[in-house]
Amino acid sequence: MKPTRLLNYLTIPLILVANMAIAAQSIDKQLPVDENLKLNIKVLRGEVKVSSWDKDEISVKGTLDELSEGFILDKQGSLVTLEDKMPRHFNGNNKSGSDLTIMVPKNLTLDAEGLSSSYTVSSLSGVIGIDSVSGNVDASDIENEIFIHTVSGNIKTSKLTGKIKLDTISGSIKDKNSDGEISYKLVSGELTANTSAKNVSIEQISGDGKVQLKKVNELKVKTISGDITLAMSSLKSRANLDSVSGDIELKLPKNLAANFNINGGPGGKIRNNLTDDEPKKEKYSPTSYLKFQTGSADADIKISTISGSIKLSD
Amino acid sequence: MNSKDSKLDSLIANLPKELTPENDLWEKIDKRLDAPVRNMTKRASHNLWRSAAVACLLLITAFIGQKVFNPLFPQPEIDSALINTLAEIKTQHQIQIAQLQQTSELVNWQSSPYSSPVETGIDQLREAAKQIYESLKRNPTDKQLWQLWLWTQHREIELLRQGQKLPVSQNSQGATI
Repeated sequence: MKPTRLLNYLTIPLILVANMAIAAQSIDKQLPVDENLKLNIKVLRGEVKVSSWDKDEISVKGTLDELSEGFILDKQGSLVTLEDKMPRHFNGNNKSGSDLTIMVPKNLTLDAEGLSSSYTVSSLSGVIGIDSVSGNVDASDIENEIFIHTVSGNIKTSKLTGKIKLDTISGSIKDKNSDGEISYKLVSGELTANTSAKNVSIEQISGDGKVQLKKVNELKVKTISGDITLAMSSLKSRANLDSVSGDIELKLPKNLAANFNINGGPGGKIRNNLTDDEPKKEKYSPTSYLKFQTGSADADIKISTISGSIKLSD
Repeated sequence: MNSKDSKLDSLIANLPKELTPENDLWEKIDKRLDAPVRNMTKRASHNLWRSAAVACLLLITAFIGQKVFNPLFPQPEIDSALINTLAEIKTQHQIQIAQLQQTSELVNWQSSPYSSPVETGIDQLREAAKQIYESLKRNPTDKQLWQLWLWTQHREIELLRQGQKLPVSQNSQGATI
């Protein structure tokens, strides 16, 4: 055997062992932080857990990505950058990614970014933003201002309070026990929500939605072809619901006082199971409409469609 | 008196026992009864067509009269200013989209493995915007429909911008951030 060939045979296992050593590279770092912490996290693959504790410092524990080019934990005044640095081009699956648990003070401004990384974020207060492409986001017990965006990742949230924006393209949104002001935006993803938010906005394109609301002040719904079913216990101000071809079903208590103005459009259908009022056709137009009032109406409910169906029930 | 009575008696005695018609009419009546029905129908049908033609003529005259003097199906008063605004907004939006698409060509975000749902969403929004636009042309004072139309445009731009931020695969293996 030639010496060069022998060297090659010996080198290959060494490279493999070195790679395994990189894969297993663990991290355990702490950093004292200022009161107005602004934390930027960039972890592209893997699993990241962010939770609060009662210390004025950040703790990072776990393992880095197999392809990590180094771990950055940098502090510039109140701004802290945390990054598992990756090569500009890489491939492989999410299992080869980072696995980090990050403890932070409860009050902070958080900006977290990922590619396929999944984020689990809990018990925080402040301006919290999470942006992942295909990774899932699980957020719970967060207050103040929350913005979560994914492309295909699923968003699961519970006990969010404040000004909330949940936005996905093809992922699903499952929200429960949120409160305050909430906006759900989806393209083809499915929406399931049970919220106490007073001001609710829902925008969907082809995905379907099922939303349970409680005491609503203002509700805005826009859907293109996706169907949506909504139920609410009371409405204080107004509800505007629009669809192009999607079906809208609105479940309301029988004693809800409101002015109803339903436009069934040229190709839509209106079914009223809430009162005895019947939809009517305009005299020289195919458009159907239904207008009626219940109780001493304080709230306005306007629903319109072009070719979908609108159903009112209790 | 007696002579008169006897004369009357003789006249009565000379009267025929029953009256018979000069000509036998039954034959004619029988023929009339058995006459083919088609002759009758032909005449009736002829009358029917005549009536229908007169009725149609009257209807057409009434319809034209209504259209000219008091339209039966009044055309909705189309607000030309709103229609113009509608067309202007549509043109502006198309210009904005064209500009964004020029940038898209540079970024080539459609090559991203995550682009498919974004592109589908954009297509669905465009199709919906067309439908809403047609409805708005017929009913340009529908505020809610206006809002829905403007929303589709806003959302389309939003999705195009999101698409441009997608990680682009410069080769078939890796992801680039």
